Parts: sequence; structure tokens; C-alpha cells
Amino acid sequence: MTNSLNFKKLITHLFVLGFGLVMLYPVVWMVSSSLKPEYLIFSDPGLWPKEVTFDNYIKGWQAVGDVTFGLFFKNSFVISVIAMLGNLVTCSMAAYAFARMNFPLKKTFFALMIFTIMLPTHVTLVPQYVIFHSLDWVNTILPLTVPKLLATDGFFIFLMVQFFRGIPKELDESATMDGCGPIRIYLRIILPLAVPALLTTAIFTFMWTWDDFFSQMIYLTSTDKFTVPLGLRLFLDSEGSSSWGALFAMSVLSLIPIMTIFFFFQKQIVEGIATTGLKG
Amino acid sequence: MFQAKKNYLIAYGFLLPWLIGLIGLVLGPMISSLYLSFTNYDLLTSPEWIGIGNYTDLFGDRVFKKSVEVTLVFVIVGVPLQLLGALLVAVLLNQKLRGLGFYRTIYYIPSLLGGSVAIAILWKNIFGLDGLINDFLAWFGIQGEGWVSNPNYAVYTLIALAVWQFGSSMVIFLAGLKQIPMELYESASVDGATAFRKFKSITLPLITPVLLFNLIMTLIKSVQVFTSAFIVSEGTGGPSNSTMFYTLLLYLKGFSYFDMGTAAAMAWLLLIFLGLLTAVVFFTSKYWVHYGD
Amino acid sequence: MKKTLLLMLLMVSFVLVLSACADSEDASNEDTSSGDTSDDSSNEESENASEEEGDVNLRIAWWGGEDRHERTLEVIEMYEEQNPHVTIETEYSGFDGYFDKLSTQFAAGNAPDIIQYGGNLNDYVLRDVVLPLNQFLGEEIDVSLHDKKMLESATFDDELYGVTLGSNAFGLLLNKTKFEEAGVEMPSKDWTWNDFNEITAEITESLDGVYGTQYFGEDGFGVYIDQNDKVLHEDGVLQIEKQDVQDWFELWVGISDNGGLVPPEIQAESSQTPEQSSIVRGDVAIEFGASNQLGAYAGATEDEIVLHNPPYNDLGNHGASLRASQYFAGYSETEHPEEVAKFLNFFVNNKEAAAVLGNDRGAPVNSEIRKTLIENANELDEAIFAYVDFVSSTNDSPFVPNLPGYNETQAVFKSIGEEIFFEQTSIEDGVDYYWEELNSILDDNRE
Repeated sequence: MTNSLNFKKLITHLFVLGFGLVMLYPVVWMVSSSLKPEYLIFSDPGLWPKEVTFDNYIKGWQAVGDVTFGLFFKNSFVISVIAMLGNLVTCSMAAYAFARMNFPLKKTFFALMIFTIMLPTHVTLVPQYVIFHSLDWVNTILPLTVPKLLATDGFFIFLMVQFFRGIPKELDESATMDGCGPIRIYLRIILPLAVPALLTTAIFTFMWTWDDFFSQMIYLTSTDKFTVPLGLRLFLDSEGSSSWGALFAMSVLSLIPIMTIFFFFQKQIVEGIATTGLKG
Repeated sequence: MFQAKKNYLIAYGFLLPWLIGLIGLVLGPMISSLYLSFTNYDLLTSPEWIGIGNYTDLFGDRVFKKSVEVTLVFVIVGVPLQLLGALLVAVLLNQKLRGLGFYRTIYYIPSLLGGSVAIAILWKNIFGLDGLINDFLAWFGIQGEGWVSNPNYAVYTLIALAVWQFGSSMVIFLAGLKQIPMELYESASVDGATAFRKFKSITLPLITPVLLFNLIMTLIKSVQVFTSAFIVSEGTGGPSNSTMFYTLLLYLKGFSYFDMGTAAAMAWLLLIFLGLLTAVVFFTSKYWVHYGD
Repeated sequence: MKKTLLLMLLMVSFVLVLSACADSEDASNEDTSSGDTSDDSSNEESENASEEEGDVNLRIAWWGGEDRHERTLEVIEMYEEQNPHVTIETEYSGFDGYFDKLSTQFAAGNAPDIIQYGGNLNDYVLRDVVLPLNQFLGEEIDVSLHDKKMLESATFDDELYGVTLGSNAFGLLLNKTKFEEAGVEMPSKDWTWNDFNEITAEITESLDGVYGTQYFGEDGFGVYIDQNDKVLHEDGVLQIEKQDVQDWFELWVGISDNGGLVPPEIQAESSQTPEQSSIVRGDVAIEFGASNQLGAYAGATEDEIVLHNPPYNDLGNHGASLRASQYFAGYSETEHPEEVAKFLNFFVNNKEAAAVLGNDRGAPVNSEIRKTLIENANELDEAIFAYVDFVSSTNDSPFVPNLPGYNETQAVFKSIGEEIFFEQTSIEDGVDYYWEELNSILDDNRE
């Protein structure tokens, strides 16, 4: 019995690990490329660099002009954290209303919310830019953060609606009997029980904001406001010579914060629920 | 009665940030894009009303037809694979296993790379003529193709890329699995249920709200697929338009071909299509999604 | 947990109040947000930019790699030092998204005062967003020493719209190392398409996994048209015939059948960036390129890369000619047109500035400056200058701007080429489709 169980565990481990190697390949490849001297990056495709150098990291960090990559990291970090907090609060509020409360126009609003996810952003980008320009917000972080504070990311509202609806309704009902209003139910019951969904929202918002190139490119114009994705593109020139080494080096560095955040948050997803002791 | 009104007010209070965002930032641009879809608009000069011309012109456009075809292949082949892959891995990583956090992080790595420019080079490195896949096939004496650069296969490498980046759906499934009360499994074990039975009668039904979410979002994201093709084909949709996804063409028309009017028309056609698709899924969800209520 | 939540809520409500105030403002703007706001938003700009009198604030945008950024920034600093009343805000980036952003800025009436364009300048001139420069000639801007052809290239309807930042010429990049490995002699300057056909087949044959040549693409087609003493178009009206396109593809299918052309799969795997081009990857021995890219190609591989002219045709033409790499031009709505003109002048005519800029955007357009640059050139630049000299002394065909709607026509040309080489379509059908599309695109891109 124990033997066959151990054997099963071993198989699972091997399977998970083997598959994990496939997943890990790109990062190993990126790290290896970042350590190669410029001229070997494309001519020597092997994983093990023939020649190791840290020049790419030094050169990449210095970025351009008197702006270092450290500043880009800071800028990205500020935007991503605000976006994350904004989405957590405002999307969960809207989701709570949709999932648990009754009000006129609920169905219409919900459909509208889903609609906003469906229209490709490329066609709303220009009119949106006009709005932000008229507010004189271009080249500030406001166009990138204020929308998150206004729950414009329907994706996360919908995500949380689905999770909130999975929480047993008896819990609310008994709380209502105890005299709790909707606000207390939201704060005391729904939010603590939906920690996995909240953490998922936090991780995704942080990461997607961290990675977002297009809107940051449109709204941020001066180099001292640049974020990591914009900084990385500075190394590329489609016609002249690009600094691929620096690009890889800084790409590797830019993975570290999001990997760390993911590592700790995924743990919380698991433990969060275990400690709250949800009863079915 | 009074209580109900008060609750309405509270509900709108919860909705307030979203409503402000909707009215102030989202609805206006949406409506103006609808208006632009009936105009000739190059972004640089004022739009000029032309009625439904943008819509009718699309039906004679060969590249437009191709883009619909390519996108449908991506959706029909890709969506089931993405969902299945993500769910399987989530179940696998939901067990009690040493070093789980490490595994989860590794499995999420491809999604972290997201829209990185490095993906373009990586993908050629894997699926190119001299790539890893062909090196692997060579062990078995098989001479592989240039998967990324052959118009017959290019779209499938992008499907592979999407499946490989299953991380976000996986995390959502994982969060959903975590919400299932352990007691249910325990009492099922007492009753002597097999692992498969537990999956079928506990896990699957209870995860349906999340499954619905992932299904709808994967559908929407797949129909709107853009970044991967944009990066791997360097914004060309090539070779021979074989990776010219709908949204990529829309973007090219809007920003590169001085034809934002047609791009807006394409966007609204897409919206209508997605609206219908989602409505169908929502309608059927009554029969297979189980909420806690 | 509760405390942090409270804090968050407070923060959010603060921002809500903020944006609610802003909201009433943009509500009035909403109806017109579709593009015709350009006028009132630029007015607003002038209110916002209430600087002290005499102070001028200019915004300048360009794309490029690191090297170009550093050089351009240095020149701008130089200009600010010499003109203390001017401050210049820079908006530089890689090429990715550069024109997307620019279009968005135009739509909102918020474009930079000075903008770098490429061969697509005509597309923007056509849409009236480029500042006409004739009014400044002889005063703010001195073009007396500028190449006549380069001036022509930025002139539309007798009006000058931009200063040329560098001139270069299309040509072929030859991998000398691969030629030697194959035991094939380097071609002479007066080689013909027949020689080309033989040489490329010979290279394919004698080397394993290396092919004679990469396909030349649309730019190559332009050179080919020039060889036939024709021009592609005049003011958007086609001057070529369908047969010319047919001949072009037949020429290449011939080279392919003869073995000299790289297979389409490898062709499609290469990319526009020099580092990922077929010649740098060692897949081909010949590739089409522009003279100012020699450095980028040569620097990306250990093989020796040299510049060479395209093969001659029966009429005795090689077809390569001088062209502008990039331009600086003003925004038609700029508030300081004279200041823009002064800066443009400085950028191309000032000797110290030129020394800093070097050959990065191609050979300088001012003949005197070019002379000093040649005197101080390194080996690589010397080769480039020599080639540019050769081209300008052997071909005097007029400058032909890109086809209007360049991005689109070029995309169709590219995908048709791919379909032909992958044998998804016949040459006839492909050319039929291209011709139809080309005409309809040109119709859409006329005033």
C-alpha cells in the first residue's frame, strides 16, 4: 500500500519535473543569451555560452543618456502597484454588487460590462487618448492608473463575480439575520472567503501592467517616465544595429520581480483558504 | 420597501467607481469608435461620413477573409487545448506534493514572458528549420519543416504558444479548486469513492463557475489574439498572411494603412460576433454551471 | 487586513473625487473626441504652455537604436547651450510603435514640433500635417550646399517639407567569407543578371546549407524598375505596367529554378533586423540592403561583409540611386515654426553637430560637411562613402518617393511574393491580384 503510494508519488514528481523543464527552457535560454558576448548571440545558438561576460548587464543597466534602467524599474513598479491596488478595491466592489445585490438595470449593466471586454482596444485607444490629452494627463502615470481605480478592467469584475457566486449564500443569509448590512457582508464574509480570487487579480494586474507595452508607449513620452517594456525597446533598432545582449540582460532582470511576486502569492492562494476554514 | 431602496443605493455605491469609469472613460470612446466605423478616417485628417461603406468593402477584401479563416482555426483548435491543458495542470498541481510552489512558478514562467520581444527569437529557436523540434525529430530520422516559416504550419506554432502560456487560466482554475471545501472530499473518501469519481462528482461540478469564466475569457482572448502574431511575425502576419489574425489586420488597417474607419468597422463586427457567441455560452450555462446558490 | 482595506478605500475615494471633477470637463469633449478636436486641443495647449515671454519649448521625436539616441541627445544639448531661450523635450524610442504613437498624437492635435520621418514622409505631407518650409529658405534654413536630389526627395508640389538627415543608396551586401569558402570569385562591378544567376547557383552548389542569395523584396523591385529607365509612379499615378511586375517575379522564379535562391522557408524565417537576417545567420551569401546598414550587418557577424552594386541589365543600368534615409520635419500646427526651422538648419548644417552625428543616419546632405566627414572616416565609413560616390556618379535617375500608402502596398507585395515562392499561387494570378490591390490602394491614398 505505502509502496505503491510512494511509487505513484515518484511518477508524479518525475512527470511534473520533466514537463517543468520544458517550461523552464525559455528562461535558461534567455539567461544564457544574456551572458554571451554580442556577436555570439545569434551565431552560437547553444544553451551553454562559449564565452561568458557580464558586459550586457552593465551596458543594459546604463540604458541611454543619463537615465539608468533602475529608474525604469521604479516607474514600472509604481504604476503596477497602483494598478493592482485599484483593481483589487474597485473591481471587487463592482463584482460584489453584481454577484450579491439587486438593483435596477443590473442585467443591462452586466451585459455592458462584458461588452467592454469584447471591443478591441485598438479602436478605443485614440478617442481615449483625446480624453486624457484634454485633461492634460499625457506623459504622466494617470492615464495608466486612474482607469484601474475606476474598475475599467471588466475581466477582473467578471472573474470575481464568478468566484463570489461560488460562495454559499447561506453565509450571507445567516449574517443578515445577525443584523449585518451589505457592507459588512462584503468586508467580513465575501472578501475573506474570496482571497484566492483577490490574489489572482493582484497577480494578474501586476503582471499585465508590468508587461504592457502598447498603452505605456502611447502615453509616456519622456525617457525619465519610461517603464521597463519601453526601456527594453530602446535597445532595438529595426534598421541599424540593436543591442540584443543588453535587451536579454534587462529582460532577465525584469522577470525577477514578477517571478518573486508570483512565487509568494501562489502560496497565499493555497494557504489563504485553509486558514479561513470555509464550511460548505 | 424603504429597505429595498436603501439597498439599491448601497448597490450603486458599490458600483460607483465602475460607473464613473464606464461613463467617463469607456463608453465615450466606444461610441465614438462606432461613429468612426461609418467614416473615412485616417487619424490625421477629420473623419468624413461614408455610411456603411467600410462594412461592405470588407466582404470583398481577400485579406479580411483570410484573417477570419486563420482566426477561426486558432479559436477552434486552440481554445479546447488551452482549457484542457490548464485544467489538467491545475489538478496536477493541486495535490499534496513537495516543492509545489516551485513547480507552480516554473509552470507559470511561459506566461510571464508574455509579450516579450524575446519570444520572437525564442520561437524561431524552437520551431525554426534548425530549431529544437527538428533536432528532436532528427533522432528518429525525420526531416522536419520550417514550422514557423511555412504558411501551412505557422498558425499551429502560435496555437502551441498559446497553449504553452496556459499559466493564467491555470491559476484561475487553481484558485477555483482551492475554494472547494476539503470536507466534501473527505466524506467521499469515507464512502470509498475513487479519484476519478471524486473528480467527476465533486471537482467538476463545483468548478463550473470558474470553468464558465475561463471558457468565455479564453474565447474572447482567442478571437482577439494579437500579441503573439504581432511579435513572432514582426507585425506582418506572414508568411503569406498565414498568421494574419483578425485583430492584427484591424491594427494594421487602423495605424499602418491610414484606415481607422475600416478598423473600427472590423472592431464592431467582432463585438457583434463575440456578443452572440457569449450569449450562447451564457444561455447554455444554465444547464451546466452550478453556483453556490 | 481591515486597516489596509480602509486605507485603500480612502485612497480610491480621493482619486474618485479627483476624476469626478475632471469628468465634467471631458464630457463636453466627448462628442467631438473623434478627431476634429485638433483645433481646440491645440488652443488648450497654448494656454497650458503659458511660459514666460521669449521662452520657447520644442518637442522632438525620433526613433533609432542606442547609438543614435546618444548622438542626437548630444546635439540637442549643444543646441540648447547655444540658444538659451529654447528648451527641447525629447521623445525618442525604438521603431516599434513609433508611428502608431505619432498617429495618435496627430489625432489629438498633440504631435511633437519636430518629427523624424522615413520614406513615408509623402504619406504625411499628403494629409497636411507637415510644416511647409519654403517660407524659411534663405533665412532660417540654408540649403545652398545640400544635394539637389535630396532636396527633391523632400519636395512635393514645389514645396520643401523636410531636411534630409542622411543619404544612402540601396545595394547588395556580399558575404566575402562565404564566397571564399565556396571558391567563387567576387563579382566585378560590371556584372550582369546572367552573372548573378550563375554565381548564386554556384554558391548553392559548392556550400552545404548556404544558398546564393536572399530575395530582394520590394526595395529591390524599385531598383529593377529604375534599371529599365522607368519610374514607379509620379504623384501617385503608376508609371509601370503590370508586365513589369510579372517580369520581376519571373526573373526570381528563374533564379530559384536555377538553384541560386534560398528556399522560401528560410527566406521567411529571416527578419528585418540585421542581426537576424539571412546573410548574418549564414544562410545566404548575398542580401539586399541599404548602404548605411553596412555597419550593422558587418558588426553582427565574424564574416567579412562588403557592399556591392546590383547587377547590370541589358540597358546598361545597375538601378541603385541615392535616396534619403530619414528626414526631420516640422508639425504643421507647431506654435514656433521659425524656431523649428532654426533647429532643422542647425541639425544638418552645423559642423560640430555633424561631427557628433557622424554617419549614423547616412551620409550628411551638406556637401561641405560630408567632405570633412570623409576626411575623418574609418574604414567602414570609407567603404560606404565610396559606394555612395560610385552610385551617384553612375546613375542620375530622378528620386522616386515611396508609393503612397507605402505600408499597405508593401505588405501586399510581400505576401504575394511569399505566395508565389511557396507555390500557393501562380505568377499570373499573384500579379493580377497585386495589380488590382495596388490600384485600389493608390485610389484611396490620393487627395
